[in-house]
Amino acid sequence: MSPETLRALLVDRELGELAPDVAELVDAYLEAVPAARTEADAMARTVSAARDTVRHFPDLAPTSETEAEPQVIPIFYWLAPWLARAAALVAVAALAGWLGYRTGQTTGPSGPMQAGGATATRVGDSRFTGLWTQYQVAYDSRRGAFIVATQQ
Amino acid sequence: MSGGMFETAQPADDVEQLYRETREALTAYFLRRHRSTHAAEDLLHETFLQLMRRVDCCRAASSPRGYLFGIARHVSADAWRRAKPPGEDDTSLASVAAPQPDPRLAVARETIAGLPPLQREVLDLRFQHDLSYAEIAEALGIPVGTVRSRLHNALELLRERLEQE
Repeated sequence: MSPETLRALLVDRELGELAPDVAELVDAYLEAVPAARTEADAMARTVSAARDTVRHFPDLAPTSETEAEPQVIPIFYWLAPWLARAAALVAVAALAGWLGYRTGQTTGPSGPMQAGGATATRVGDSRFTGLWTQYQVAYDSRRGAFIVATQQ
Repeated sequence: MSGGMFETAQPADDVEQLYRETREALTAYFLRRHRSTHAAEDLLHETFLQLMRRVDCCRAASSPRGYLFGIARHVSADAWRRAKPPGEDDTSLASVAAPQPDPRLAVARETIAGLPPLQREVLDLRFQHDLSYAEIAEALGIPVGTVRSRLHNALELLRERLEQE
């Protein structure tokens, strides 16, 4: 039995939340394993301290509306992180596709090309080595146009 | 008196029984949060008025007592939102802390005070009001597993702090 599982069971046992058959099994385990018995005693002291403290200090009770639980259907609550990641991937893919489209409109075999206000220039810069560095986009304020540099 | 009609709802026997069983616990619940016996009584009545409006939901709940504490929780929160700071009442609840707290309690108090409100709420409902996991889940509108994990995490942290002392 893992330590985390044991501790969780000991809390439930101390609070009387175990089903009778499970409680019997846990008791038998505690008799057979002295280290587990020590854990149980420590947990009993902790629960006792918590109970005494909560009863002794009424100001510990939260007095205002606590954060509301998310008011969503549970399945969406579970899916929300995955949906967010999927949405982010779609957004990045769409942006990359748009950039590629725009660059394809403006690049040619050599020299600058004009297309829709953007100028494409080929550069032989060794910094352009990966997919995401294949294009560089800059704004030329003199011409009032975007310049797209592509990997040679 | 013509035209005036007063509805007198006779509380059902089960609601009356629930009232008898939970009156003290709910009064204590409101006293802890509002520090005033007058406020506690008013809020207790408000709680049962709300219960009477949705008595069918209470009967259908897995734990009527937990459902009732859920209503009490919202009634308490609404009262806080409406009102003034707690009790210059002559019947305000005085601090029950003993002048020389046990050092163990002092550490535990500091630890529990630093917990998130939702964990403190679970601790309060369990150790002060003796609600079961299922009743706490019903009161807070969360799964029983969440109640267990919040309680376990809080106690685990408390145990670590106590062992450090």
